[in-house]
Amino acid sequence: MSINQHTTRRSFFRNTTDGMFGAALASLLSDDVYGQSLDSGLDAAQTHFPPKAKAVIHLCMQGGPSQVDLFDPKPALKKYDGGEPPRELTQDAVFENDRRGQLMQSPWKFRQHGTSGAWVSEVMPHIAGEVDELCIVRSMYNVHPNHEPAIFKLVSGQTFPGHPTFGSWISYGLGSENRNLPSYVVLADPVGRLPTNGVSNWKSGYLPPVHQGTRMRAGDSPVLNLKPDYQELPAVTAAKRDLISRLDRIHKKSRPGQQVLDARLSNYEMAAKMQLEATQALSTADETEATQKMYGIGNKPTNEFGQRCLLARRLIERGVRFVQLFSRGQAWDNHSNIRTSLKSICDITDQPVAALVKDLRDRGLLDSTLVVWGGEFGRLPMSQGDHKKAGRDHGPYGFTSWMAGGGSKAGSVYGNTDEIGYASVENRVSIQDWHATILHLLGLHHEELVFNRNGLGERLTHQLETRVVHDIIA
Amino acid sequence: MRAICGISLCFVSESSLRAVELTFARDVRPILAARCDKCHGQKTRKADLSLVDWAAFKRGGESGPLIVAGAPDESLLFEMIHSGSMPPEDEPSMTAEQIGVIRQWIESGADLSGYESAQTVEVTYADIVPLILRRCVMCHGPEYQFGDLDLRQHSLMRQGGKNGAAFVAGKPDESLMVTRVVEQLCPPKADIGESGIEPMTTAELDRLKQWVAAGATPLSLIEDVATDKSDPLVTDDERQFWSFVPPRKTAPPTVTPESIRTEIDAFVLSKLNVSGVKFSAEADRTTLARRAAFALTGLPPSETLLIEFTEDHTADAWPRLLDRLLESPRYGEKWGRFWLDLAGYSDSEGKRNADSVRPFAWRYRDWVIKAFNDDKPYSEFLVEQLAGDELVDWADESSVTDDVIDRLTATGFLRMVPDGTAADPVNRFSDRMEVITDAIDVVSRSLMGLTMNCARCHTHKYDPIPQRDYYRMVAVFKGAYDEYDWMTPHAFNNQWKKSKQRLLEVLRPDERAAVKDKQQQTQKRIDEITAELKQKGLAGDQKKKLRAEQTELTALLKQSPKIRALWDRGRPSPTFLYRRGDETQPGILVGPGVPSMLTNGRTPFQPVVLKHSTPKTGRRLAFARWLTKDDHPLTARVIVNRIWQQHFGRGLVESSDNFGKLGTPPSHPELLDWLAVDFVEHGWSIKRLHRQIMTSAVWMQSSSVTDVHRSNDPDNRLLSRMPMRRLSAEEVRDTMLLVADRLNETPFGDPDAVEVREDGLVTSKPVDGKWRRSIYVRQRRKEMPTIFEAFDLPQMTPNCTERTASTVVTQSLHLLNNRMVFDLAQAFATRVQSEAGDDETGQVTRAFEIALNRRPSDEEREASLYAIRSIEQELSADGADESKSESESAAGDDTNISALAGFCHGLLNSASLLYVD
Repeated sequence: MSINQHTTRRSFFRNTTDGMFGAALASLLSDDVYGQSLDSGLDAAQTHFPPKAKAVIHLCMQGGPSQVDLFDPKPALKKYDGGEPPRELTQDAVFENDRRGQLMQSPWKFRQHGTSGAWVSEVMPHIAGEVDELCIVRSMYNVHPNHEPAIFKLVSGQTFPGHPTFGSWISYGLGSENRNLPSYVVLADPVGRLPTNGVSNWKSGYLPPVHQGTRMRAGDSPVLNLKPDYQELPAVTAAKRDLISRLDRIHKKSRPGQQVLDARLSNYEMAAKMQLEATQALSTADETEATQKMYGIGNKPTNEFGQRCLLARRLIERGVRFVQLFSRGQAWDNHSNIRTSLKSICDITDQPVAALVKDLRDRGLLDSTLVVWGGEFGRLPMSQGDHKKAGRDHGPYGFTSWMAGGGSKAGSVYGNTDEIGYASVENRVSIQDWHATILHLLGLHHEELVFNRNGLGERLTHQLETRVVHDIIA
Repeated sequence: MRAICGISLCFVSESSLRAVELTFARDVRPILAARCDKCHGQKTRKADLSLVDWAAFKRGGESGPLIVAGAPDESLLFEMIHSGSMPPEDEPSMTAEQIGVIRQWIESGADLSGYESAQTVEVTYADIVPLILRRCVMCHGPEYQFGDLDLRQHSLMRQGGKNGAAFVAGKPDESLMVTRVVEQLCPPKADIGESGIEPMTTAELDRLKQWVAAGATPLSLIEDVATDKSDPLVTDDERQFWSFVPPRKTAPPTVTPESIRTEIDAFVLSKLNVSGVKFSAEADRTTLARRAAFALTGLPPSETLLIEFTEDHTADAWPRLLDRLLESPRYGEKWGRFWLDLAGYSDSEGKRNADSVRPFAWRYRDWVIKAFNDDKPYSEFLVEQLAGDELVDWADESSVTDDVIDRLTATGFLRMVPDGTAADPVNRFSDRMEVITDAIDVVSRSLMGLTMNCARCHTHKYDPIPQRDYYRMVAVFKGAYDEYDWMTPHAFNNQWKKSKQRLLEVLRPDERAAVKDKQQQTQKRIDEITAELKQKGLAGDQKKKLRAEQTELTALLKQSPKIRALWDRGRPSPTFLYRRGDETQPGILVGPGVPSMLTNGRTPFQPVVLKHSTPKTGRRLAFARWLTKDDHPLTARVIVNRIWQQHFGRGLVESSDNFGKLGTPPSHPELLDWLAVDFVEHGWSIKRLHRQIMTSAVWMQSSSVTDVHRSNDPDNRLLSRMPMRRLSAEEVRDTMLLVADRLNETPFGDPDAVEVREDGLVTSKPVDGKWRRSIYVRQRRKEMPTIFEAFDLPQMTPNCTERTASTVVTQSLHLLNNRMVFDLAQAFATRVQSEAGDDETGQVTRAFEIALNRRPSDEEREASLYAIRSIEQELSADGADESKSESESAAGDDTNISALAGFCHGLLNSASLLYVD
């Protein structure tokens, strides 16, 4: 796949004129007649340079986890508790309202953990125990204070729908290591509503649809249309498949050289294999009791999220490139009652997330799997609402995300917010920097992972000024 | 690049150089003269940049100033040469020494002595106009003059409003236009969130103060437009690129006469001969009929049509078949979809997660279908879509006819792009610019085969499209799409209550009377209900019923047929070039015009003067007429190529929306030109073009691939055979419906609703147990029916100029496991049984005839019968296990129809159905 050869933007365009690059793209777009390749655009591909990670698990914490209550302790908040934030620190604010309100100290205590000595609040005791695996970035910022545009930015680099999400770009760049499973799997909350922005969270935009995220869930039909949506005897289904296969072979016999017909036949075979493999991947029956317990399966608050974290590991083991987990709804959107609401979502996710990191490490998978944790933004250090039941409003100007494994720098803390945790001020990391760094860990250069559309070379980082954050790479 | 960087750093650190003071005249200017003046000189000013005189040098080009004194890394000049972007790739890069000199010169302060000394840049009226447009005119401009104030012109500012003049020259602190902003009274706080107007920034306010302090002097602003003098930005050489000169008809080459049917064949065969390949044999009649029916109507041929054709042995049987297909109303439904892809048709606004439904978009869809069925000449088709509102005086109520309404409906073409100005967070300038950008992108790529959108931020890197020309296009559309005088797409919650909607209510006089009458009746009934509700002693459920009726009628009252049109209002704001595409960095003022490279460069653009009852700029009409003039270099070539592409899977120009330098050169240039000229000569008729293409030997070839093909024409660029093609998403669904006798052929009107299942499956809802054709299913961006997505109907962002035809496992999964397909297989089986009776062999034959227009081969029949019998066995074994008590005969019937349905399901999944030979 020549897209992964070391090409500059310029030679990309030159190659397009030659038609060579065009042909490579076309073979991605349609399983057509180019050579013997009958792949679905998903064959495992060469990277631009040797990768550190082979797969990504994105723990998408929608709503905006509060950095000053989790990973970014601010003693100054105690000092200034109840005061207005200084104007010179709120310059970035988009809305005037974002400058107002009384500063509020965190209701939780922070302590240093592990040999790295990184600070984590008491509300995340399990993750605190894994802190030596984490690379905590305290200087993230997003460009919009509303959920929808900020989430679009987080997943696709633009604040509106239509552009491919970063999971799709990664699938496009790396292909899949397992033809019987989708390369990009989404594990959304199985019971609740879809996350904010719905299925747009995992759309492939103008990239071929095969790179779209596939929503899976444990149960009878893990993927849409994977199993008959009607009652039928298995033997009847088998007879029908046999008929299709026979008819297609007869059809193909009189049409030699039409390679697309071979691809079709193999698709029907793959459909059957996928049914088996996906069902196996999404059943945790063969996991030991100890493993299940570690993820908090069987305990009320952690049971469901623990299941999904465990499924994420199982999918990664089977060669899926990108697994995306969403926490329940906007559980991190703690506008009010932060003392109970933030605590509650931490109780749900803390143990399973820590278990996932630990489990990956114990199985030797953490080196090649990049775990990414974070929301679309964080929260303002001021209180919102009645002081007793106070929460915090959206804070896109500075927030914390972390990585673990996959070649990220374990046991480190990068960047800083200002004295009160309002805005990112030191070693600022934009969303596109974050994306470029993730691609880099996967052996992909963000300027070379290009898709030609409308005369433009589209890419995940768009035409935005972008830097790979080498300081967070081991 | 890294190597050069290293050398240059070494170089400037050498002490010998540090000691020498670099001067512009002695050290820098000669480098520029040698390496840059060719393109950025006196006569040629690429990117609107000249490096020869100091004023131009200081001003910079379209991307702004070139130098930040003391900071080479922030200076555009250094960035361009250091990154290797300049000189362009066909020129050698600058030497490390040259780069080093320029770096050091900027670092040491970019002294321009020896040239002319720099002057401090003053704020002029030209800087103030865009600022006022951005921040003030929404309330003090064309639509509203709150406080009797209009700020669009200097004289009006001086004249002021009811509180006095907007400024006091020389005294910013006493000038209302300054103090209102300082005191945060303007823009009014309540409007900020809703109107999309944000307060002036400190820098902008400083500029305004500076201008007032300096005397608030006016300046006559001159628009940059094409004149009768030669254009400094585009050279005559550049105009000679093949697609920028009008097509010329050359006589078809002479080839062996027996194998050719039409001129097209002569062009194609002469190339084939060179490669030692012949045309493939003509496909058999059934294949041809099926291929033609799918090509023209998107559905298999009817049995009558097929029989008549196969039995008609006269010479013109084939053209007669084509005529009948072209006359079918299904033709417009198939080819209308082709156009809707190019337009980016959607029933929702997109851009926001809410993806609100777009009311009345379907009227444009219906207009397109009718235009194809009527074979409206392509030139008229375009003019109406680009400027229908300027063709008719629609505002004159008495003269409204169906034609007038049609013309307005046609402008829906320009209203199809995603529009984020109808949702929360509302209507920012950047959202408006996105709409304008997308609309121009659709026009330039779909109609002209140009990637104009590259020139929004900078002069096109490959084609001679200066950034200025992009903004001239923006000015063409300004009378209707004006980011400073914006209209919202439709009513929505928390919008600025004062903003005007872009839905027109234009009705014929008799319709208007009828609607009025209806509304009066409705109102009367509402009044009655209101009175009834006031009566005492009404039962609860009675009250409830009346209230429901009242709500329903009130909603009805608000509904009246509207048109999602685009119309000129005759009051365009001035158009500024936006440096780097950023609306906060206005550059020069430009007037309307067309891309210079497509003219002789010495032709002024003249808007059409219109004398209608409302003012109109006439700019779009002039543009549309220019675009459809007979010798336009691109318009006919582009559409002829697109239609060719639909037939053969690949255009004569493969990059069908890029006819520029980065596009692929035509595989058969003479044929392309011949077709384009012939198309125009024969009245821009698309139906005629289909006939022309489909009666050629090229089109009628078999699709079989032979060894000779594989060795001499492996990817069929020479057209040595007809390509086999997978049905499109719509064709797959429509064909299954037709075969199962579940197709409702009612055309037009409100789109059919879709159902979204909790797990994400989206399915179109039936109307009276049947489904309408796919083109009538609601096309909401976030709720696309799953089957369409699986078979490559893409999201329109902003449009789709080429469908892909993937072969992925989701397609097989959908056809096998989806409930609707399963149900259609049952319906198909019921139909087969009623037409063929109970004999299984007869059933198989009939099913093949219905689905594939042919009888099964022996092998196919055997496989089919084997499947039916195996399923029957399984079912009776199962039935014997579970329901012994049921009557034998009923169970037998069920078993037969179930087995037949299983076979039919297989047939719906078969390659024979999904691929057209």
